[in-house]
Amino acid sequence: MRRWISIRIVLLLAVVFSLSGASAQARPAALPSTEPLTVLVDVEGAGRRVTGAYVIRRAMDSSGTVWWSFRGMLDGELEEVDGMAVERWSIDGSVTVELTAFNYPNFRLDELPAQRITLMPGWDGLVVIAGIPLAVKGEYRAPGAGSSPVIIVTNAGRGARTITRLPDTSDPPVKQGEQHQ
Amino acid sequence: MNSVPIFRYRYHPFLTVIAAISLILLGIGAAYLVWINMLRDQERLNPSTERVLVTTDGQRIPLTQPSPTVVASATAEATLTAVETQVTLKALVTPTPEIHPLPPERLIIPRININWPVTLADIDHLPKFRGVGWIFGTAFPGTPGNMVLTGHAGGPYATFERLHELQRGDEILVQTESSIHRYRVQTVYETSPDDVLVMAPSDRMIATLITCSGDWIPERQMNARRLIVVAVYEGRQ
Repeated sequence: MRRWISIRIVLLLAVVFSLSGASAQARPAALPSTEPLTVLVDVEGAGRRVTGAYVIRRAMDSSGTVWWSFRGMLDGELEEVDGMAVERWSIDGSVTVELTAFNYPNFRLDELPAQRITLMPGWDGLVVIAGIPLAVKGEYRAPGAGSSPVIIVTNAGRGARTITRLPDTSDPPVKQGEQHQ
Repeated sequence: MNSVPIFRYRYHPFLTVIAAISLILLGIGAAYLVWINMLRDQERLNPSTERVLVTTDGQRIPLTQPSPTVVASATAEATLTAVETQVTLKALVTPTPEIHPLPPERLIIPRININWPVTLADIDHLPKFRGVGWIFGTAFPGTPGNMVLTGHAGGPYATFERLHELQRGDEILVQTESSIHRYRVQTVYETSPDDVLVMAPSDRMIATLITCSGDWIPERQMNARRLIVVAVYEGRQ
């Protein structure tokens, strides 16, 4: 059950940023020209933590089609999801992103609490999804309008994280007191 | 002379409840707006998307890499020091930075039979599977900066148990969705766990591999040392 909640978080983020890994076979034979976008996510919510990268390819034609893939961790476990979305930009600068398909075993699109999210202009680096405020670094604009090549998303209000130690890779394997190397 | 009352309050329970609910909703809305504006101001002053290295002497180094869109005009070998140029570079190609930064997907080191998946990780959120963590905030493969990869040296998730066998000149391959980036080992050394300068951003295109080494310290539940492998970018295939 908790795993399903985590998957919902991943997919909700996908709705917002049209995120995750598009499988080659899901694409049509004649691909339109696409603009790539990478979104790095490190978000905690519902007692779970999602850390991973979305690779998004946005169609440069007027279709608004987006192919996305996610590769990352849910509480340290490897997860990979991919799918499709449609983004529609309005003259006022708002964008509506709708998740249309994704590939994840035993999980259907209609099980998501929301398949469509609208971002209004002036969001200014802060969005709230499912009650979780998220800080966003980077510009997200219509395809071809100069989006940042990389967008970073983390929980808002925590400030810059400080790193005082190198990664502790002895954590799970040698907690029992065994010695290696 | 009778005065005409301008306003006469008459108690209507239904209207009173509606008014109370409206006031409560207005208060919630106002509080929400205040909260959002406070968060926004806080993010402007101290962005949560940033990582900062803090050295033992208190120096603070933002973990911000050079812009991945920068197209390097100079060759990477031009930035090597005299010591670094001793590395035998079999293919002195001009390293062309990745036009669009893509995350690493696999790490391949042929000489020590390493071929593991790579995922984004954070200092306090490392893989709990046999995979390699690409540390949040460090450089993308094939872009200027320091790409930091980390893996376990022992236990059920061990991926870097043979990292200490690497030598100067060994080849390291990092695969993305569209390319394979080739790095060449420049230095292998041990350091203390608080030597965070290992992860500091760089103007060069380098990869830093980190794993645990040294004796196990039971009271600190960690190893005493860290093994560091620094590799210089050569180009992509």
